[in-house]
Amino acid sequence: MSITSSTTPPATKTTPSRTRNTLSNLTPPAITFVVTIALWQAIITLFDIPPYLVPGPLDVVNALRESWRTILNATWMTFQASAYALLISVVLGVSVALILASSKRLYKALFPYTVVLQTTPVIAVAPIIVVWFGIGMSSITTVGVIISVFPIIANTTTGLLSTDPNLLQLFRLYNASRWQILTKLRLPYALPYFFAGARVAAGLAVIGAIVGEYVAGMGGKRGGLGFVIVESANRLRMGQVFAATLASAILGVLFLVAINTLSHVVLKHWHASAAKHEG
Amino acid sequence: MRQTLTDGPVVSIRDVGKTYSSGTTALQNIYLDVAPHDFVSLVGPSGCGKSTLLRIIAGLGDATSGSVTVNGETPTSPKARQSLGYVFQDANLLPWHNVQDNVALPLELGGVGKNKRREAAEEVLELVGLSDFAHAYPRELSGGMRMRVSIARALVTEPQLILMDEPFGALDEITRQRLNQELLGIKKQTGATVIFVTHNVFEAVYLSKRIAIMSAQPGRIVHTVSVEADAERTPDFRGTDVFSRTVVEVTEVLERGIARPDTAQQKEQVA
Repeated sequence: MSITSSTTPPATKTTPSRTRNTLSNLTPPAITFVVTIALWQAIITLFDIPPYLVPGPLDVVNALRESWRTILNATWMTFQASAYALLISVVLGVSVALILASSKRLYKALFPYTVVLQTTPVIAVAPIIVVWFGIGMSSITTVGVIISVFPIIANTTTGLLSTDPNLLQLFRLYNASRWQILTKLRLPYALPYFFAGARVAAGLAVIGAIVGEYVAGMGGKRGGLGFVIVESANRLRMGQVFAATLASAILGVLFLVAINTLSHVVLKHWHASAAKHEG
Repeated sequence: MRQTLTDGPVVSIRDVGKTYSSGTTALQNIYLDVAPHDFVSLVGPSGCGKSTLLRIIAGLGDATSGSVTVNGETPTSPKARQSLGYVFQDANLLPWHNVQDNVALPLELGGVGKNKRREAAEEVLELVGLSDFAHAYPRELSGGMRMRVSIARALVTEPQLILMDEPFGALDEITRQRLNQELLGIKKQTGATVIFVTHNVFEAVYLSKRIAIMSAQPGRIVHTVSVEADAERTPDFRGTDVFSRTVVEVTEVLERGIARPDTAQQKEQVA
């Protein structure tokens, strides 16, 4: 999405062609949507699959209509946990990246362990986190952070370390201080890399929050989507499971669109080649 | 204010050599004096160390032997750096800054206030004919315009010495010729001393008062040629005898330098 918009030369961004672009961009996925729904319903009718195994599109719509309040509340809970997780990941990730990029020795000493952080399955550490942070928001957010912080660390560090050497020379030539080089060159230069990481992290934060809710979610009005999914599956209320899954997918897309928009606003002046890391 | 020393060279290079830790000799026995208001081109094949030499003058690299002074100071001293502007091979602009902010960057880094920066940027942008593009971003400009911005940035500190490292190498011939003409105009208006690195003999002859011809492996100055023509040059100059004679002379020395390094080395005494 951002790739096409960032490589489109500004001259072609007149209103009529833009509207036409949006239309022609929206038509193929709309067709896919309609065909998928139709196929789904057709298979269920054809093979007579009971709704407690696979609900049809209509069952999902019904589940949404019956328990929209529960789903909405759950979505709001998961949204909060994901947003906190993403926010903490950004702050933590950028801080760690700054430390890693400050010296080659530190980078060599620490970077392998950030990889371990990423390769350890989060579901394996989740119970430990519940023991430490208890049932509820702090555990859920922590799981979200653990799963989403790595792409931000890795990308921002790469960005900070790949500053154009010619630009570095330019800054040295004009006696720039270390602080000036960091704030006026290396940090802005790392922005496209950071956003590439943040885009991945946004999706992961939602996934992390839902995984967190599987193990540390709470009942009643304060349960998130992960909790609703586990609960409803236990009771074989598959329509509700699908509805909650749908809501979590929409939540993920929402996060992605938010980051994309932010990235587009921040990087809109960049040359297409400089912004290539955006994708 | 632009300070001009009436006596003594702006740049003085004494027996400069550079050897890399791998043992490769990049530069050897370089002697060169550049007088105030001079326009000296360093011409040579790739790998002859002409860019390396320019970077040493700018204090961006170290010589392993010999000495370089800019206005009597070592190149890395703040005083020497304040007196020079540097134009890179690429325009080297910050993509997140508009033209005006890119041009004013040296002043921004020097702690100059916002209003003064804007005034200074407007002044040099007029000099390079980009006044109307002050608020454009680098991505919206052509290669030639970006190079003009880069030159304006080098001029914004009112340097006495401008170092240019193959600035027009990536441009098409027509744009290059136009920018050559503009560069001569800028030089006339500012009175700056210019050291210009190029591998284009025509460009060197058209622009320079003197041409230092370099040869590779090891990089050294094999000959210095003076261009016997007025400093004021118009495109007609390209049709004159002096122009073609000098082009032939420089080209011959270049070819000799590449083909037979031994004879070229004897010529070095002339330089």
